[in-house]
Amino acid sequence: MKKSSVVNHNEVFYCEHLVLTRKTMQDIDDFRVTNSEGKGLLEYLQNNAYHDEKLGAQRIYLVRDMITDELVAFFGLKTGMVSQNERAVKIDNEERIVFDMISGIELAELAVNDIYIRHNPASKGCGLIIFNDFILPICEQAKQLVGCEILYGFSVDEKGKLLDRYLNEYNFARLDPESEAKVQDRLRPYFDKGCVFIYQKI
Amino acid sequence: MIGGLDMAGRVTYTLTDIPGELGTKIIDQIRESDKPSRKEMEEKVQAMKRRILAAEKREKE
Repeated sequence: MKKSSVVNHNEVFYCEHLVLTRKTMQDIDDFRVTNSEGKGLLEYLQNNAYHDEKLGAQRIYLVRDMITDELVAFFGLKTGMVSQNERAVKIDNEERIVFDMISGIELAELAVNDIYIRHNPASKGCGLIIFNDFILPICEQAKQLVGCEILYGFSVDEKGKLLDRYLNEYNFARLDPESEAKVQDRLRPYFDKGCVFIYQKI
Repeated sequence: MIGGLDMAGRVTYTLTDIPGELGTKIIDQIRESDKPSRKEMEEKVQAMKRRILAAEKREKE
């Protein structure tokens, strides 16, 4: 574990920012997400993550094995807001557009490396460790510095296991169907077809 | 969106994104939700880490 790049660590993993080194580039090339819903995440990691990190559009975190430095997972966080109820109102005889908003942090990506799990089957389900020990503390820290009411995201895989996991294990919630459909129309990232808006208070 | 022509013949739109009541309901639903308890997740995570460490120890032996 290279101490200078580490953001956080627990007993089994450590978490660092994405910095392009030869090893990191190789590890990213070797990263695998075998389920079909993860294809977009893999593509993002391999083609766009570093650009966003460098631009400051997102902070990309790599999670590594404490002992072997193998790449376990990655996740991406960025600030955002949920805006709704955009409407035209008259203020001082002038028509203006206003809207309600909630500030938040978007969990833009979270993916575990299937190759790592294949070599370390005891780590199956480790996404929960990463969420609890790394993602939530970052959100709590951000909340100490700027306004941040919720952690939110767009879960792909509406009919499968991933959404259930986010709702039942990660404690995210989803809106009622009518509200959800409206939010989806407005906020859904263009590449996230069939995704579901999920959120939780932080 | 509702469209119309203004006096100069340009197309203008009145943004009625989501009917007021529904828009407010969405914001309220999110804002009034409870912060989830972290206790159960913390216990699961600790158990998972113990399992991983035990597996690593077995591998070394």
